[in-house]
Amino acid sequence: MEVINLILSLLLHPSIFVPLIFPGLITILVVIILLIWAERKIAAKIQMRIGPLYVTRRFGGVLQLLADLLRYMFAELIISKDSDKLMFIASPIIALTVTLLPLAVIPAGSLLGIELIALRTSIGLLAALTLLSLTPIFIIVMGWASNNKFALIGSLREGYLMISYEVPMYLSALSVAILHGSLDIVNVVNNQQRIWTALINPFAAFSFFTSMIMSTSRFPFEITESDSELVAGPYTEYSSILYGLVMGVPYMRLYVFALLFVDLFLGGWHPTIDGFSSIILISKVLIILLFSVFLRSVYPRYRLDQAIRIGWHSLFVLSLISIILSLLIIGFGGISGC
Amino acid sequence: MKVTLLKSQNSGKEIELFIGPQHPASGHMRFIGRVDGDIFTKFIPDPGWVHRGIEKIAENRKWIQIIPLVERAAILDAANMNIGYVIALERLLDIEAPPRAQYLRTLLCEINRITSHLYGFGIAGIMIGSSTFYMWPFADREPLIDIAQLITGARLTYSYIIPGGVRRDLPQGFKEKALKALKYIERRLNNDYFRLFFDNPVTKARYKEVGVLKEDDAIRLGIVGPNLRASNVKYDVRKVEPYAAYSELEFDIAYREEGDCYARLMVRVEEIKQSIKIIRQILDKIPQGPIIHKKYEKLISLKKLEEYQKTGVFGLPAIFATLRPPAGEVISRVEAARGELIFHIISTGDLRPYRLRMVTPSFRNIVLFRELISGARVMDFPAIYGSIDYFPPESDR
Amino acid sequence: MVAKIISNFYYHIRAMLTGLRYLLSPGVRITLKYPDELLLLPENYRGMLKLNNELCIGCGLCSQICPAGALSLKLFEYEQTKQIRRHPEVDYKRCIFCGFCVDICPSKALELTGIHDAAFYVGDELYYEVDRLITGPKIDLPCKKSKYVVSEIDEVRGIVYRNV
Repeated sequence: MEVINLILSLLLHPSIFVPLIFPGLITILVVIILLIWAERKIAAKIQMRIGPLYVTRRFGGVLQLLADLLRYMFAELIISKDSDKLMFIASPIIALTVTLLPLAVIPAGSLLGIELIALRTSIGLLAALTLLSLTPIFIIVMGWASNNKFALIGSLREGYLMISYEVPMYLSALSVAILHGSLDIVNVVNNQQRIWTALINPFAAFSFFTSMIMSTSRFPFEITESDSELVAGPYTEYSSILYGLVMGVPYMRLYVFALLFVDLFLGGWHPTIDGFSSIILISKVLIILLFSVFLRSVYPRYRLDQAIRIGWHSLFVLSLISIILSLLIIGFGGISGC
Repeated sequence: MKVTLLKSQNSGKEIELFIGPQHPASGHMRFIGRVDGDIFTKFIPDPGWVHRGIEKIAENRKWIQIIPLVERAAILDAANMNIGYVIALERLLDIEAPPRAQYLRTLLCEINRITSHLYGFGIAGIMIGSSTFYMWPFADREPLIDIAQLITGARLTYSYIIPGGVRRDLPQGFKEKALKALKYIERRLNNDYFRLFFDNPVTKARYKEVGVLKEDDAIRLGIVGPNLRASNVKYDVRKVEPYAAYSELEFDIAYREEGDCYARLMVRVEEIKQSIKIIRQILDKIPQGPIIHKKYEKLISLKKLEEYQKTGVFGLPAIFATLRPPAGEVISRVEAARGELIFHIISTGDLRPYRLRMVTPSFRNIVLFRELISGARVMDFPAIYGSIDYFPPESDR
Repeated sequence: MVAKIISNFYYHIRAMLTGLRYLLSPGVRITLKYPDELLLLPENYRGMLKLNNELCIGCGLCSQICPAGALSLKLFEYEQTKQIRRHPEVDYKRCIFCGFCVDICPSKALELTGIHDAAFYVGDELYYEVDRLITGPKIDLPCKKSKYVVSEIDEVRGIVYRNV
């Protein structure tokens, strides 16, 4: 009895509960299985066809992704002779790990009386953004370690894109911090009780959203793994379970980004229900995720130099304008004043 | 053309890319390119992977057996390949099909032109990444293929046009179904295609001012088809040397002035609209009469003659199994969906031809790869490929 | 410059709204759910062949015209009457379903059945000897719940499949 109580209290402690169960690893896996199914079904509906159907026939093929993952596990893992074997195998695993790191500092409301934040610091926003910038480095390493010309071209494209969307992202987040007067994400959310940031400063919201689309390879910016030109970009040589991992990394990144976006701009878990405010947060995150995967059916992809030009001409200028707007609003008395 | 593949220039600064036959964006064809940063310094197409030896096989087949053979050179465009060969054969035999047969031939050729252009749109869409604009044109080919199935009995491999006329007549209730299908295509083309793809700012950014082909270059290089008409040259074989029923039908030549990828796509959209106009005129104006030349009409058995009066299915006269046209040399030109198609046949009065030569439009457009892509960016290659509407089996024969 | 930004924004919104309209409108799908729905083809569809042995005169025109060399004539002995006549045999590995043999036959002995999706387990079954050609091809239903549908052209939805 004592042992079970001990394990339960350990499990329900926020530092373990958040990264492991909710909104951490297990929730991410469930969300990804449903999200990729939803992406294929949405694309199929718009294209006048049916999409995945036969795996669990009565529910419309929901567990198709589990069947795919099972099949990947039984495929043969091929590592080419001339590749850098250690980094070839290690970089998808490290990329997956560092993608999940920002969950330690992003709050998620409260569930059954547990305050869902693992590590509350006064520089939480800065920590989250810094940890989010680690993943592209390992994607570039993946392309280099494959020793394949197409993979090399893919990682070069990822490198170019990385320096184009990072700056507007940081500047938009800075404008939110200026507006609410704190770098602590919990304070930023609690400050949006009356009105959301996206309605006060829409330039920052637009710029952050577009940087999010650019960084996770959603259409129209799916340039890294453009799978009708280069074979699959930096992921060309991967097979079997490593392929399953590298295909899941952009979706996990999208989920973490969406959590941060909802916390900063869409009011987090307000309007709140006492004790279950995470449910509100998760529904907003799901709407943002479904919109991001809906864009696949509507857009072709941009050319590389056009995407970089958008990053520097449009998004950078917009984020500078959003900083000036935040400063003006602060100058006129702040949010509680107007 | 000797290509040194292993010696690199510029002290190793350039990468040599083999965009091979098994690549998502190459069709079934191999390309060799030298990339310096983001620009192709040299780009060489390497055709021949789908070479099936159609011209050589045709020297061992009887004249009527060649009809399914030349259709399969470009199976999307089967009726136009068919009519090119049969017009050349009819010039050797010195006969002409009756008026109703000419109208029926034109009907099938125009339906095939629309389906071929829709296939081209699908390939252009998937090459720049829009999977919706890959599925929509392929789905919209279905009503038209159903219409063609009503006329000929097969979905893609028609073999419908024979020397002297056509094999079958129109079934009952054809006109209403055809008009419904045409209205569906017109509505989709005018509304949803433009809203989703052609007016999309991403599409315009990928296609405008990319791969510009100037008027003098187009004439000097010998380009044919919609690629030529998009560079301000108004040349269409259906107007220059009319065949089938085109001299009695009203239609305009579609052309554009800019010569970039967007202009080539717009010319194809305009050609689909003109084809719909032609089909509507045919359905109104088609004359009654026989569907086969009177020399062959008497050469079938009595039992088949009464079935022909009743149901309109004629079939083939028995003389086709041992057809021996007189000796001579003929050339015929038709306008296939991708450009001008030339047949050159030499006959020595035997059961089989001495030489069959077909010059397909894709083979004449292959030089555009070398001219347009050298000097362009790496990501312009799929955009230019999709807009030229190049079909490797048609080029390799 | 501002006009260009506003017009670009308008075209982006229009593309997304078109996608949303297709997403939310009820059931416009063009898929045939084979093998639950089997397509019943119209009468003049060119499919596999069937021989009417009383009409066949053994002239051999069908074998002379076949572009793929799939037809060949063999001597066939009838069991009841002990008559020996020449009748064609079909090799479906070579047949391209062009229908020339049916069209050229002077006594209309070969006819089209409209069956195109017969499947075989053994490669030798693809060669139809004279007695099998007289009986004609037959197919079993792929699964117990299969039913036949007919395709119809519709102005709004393109192709619609209706139950027979």
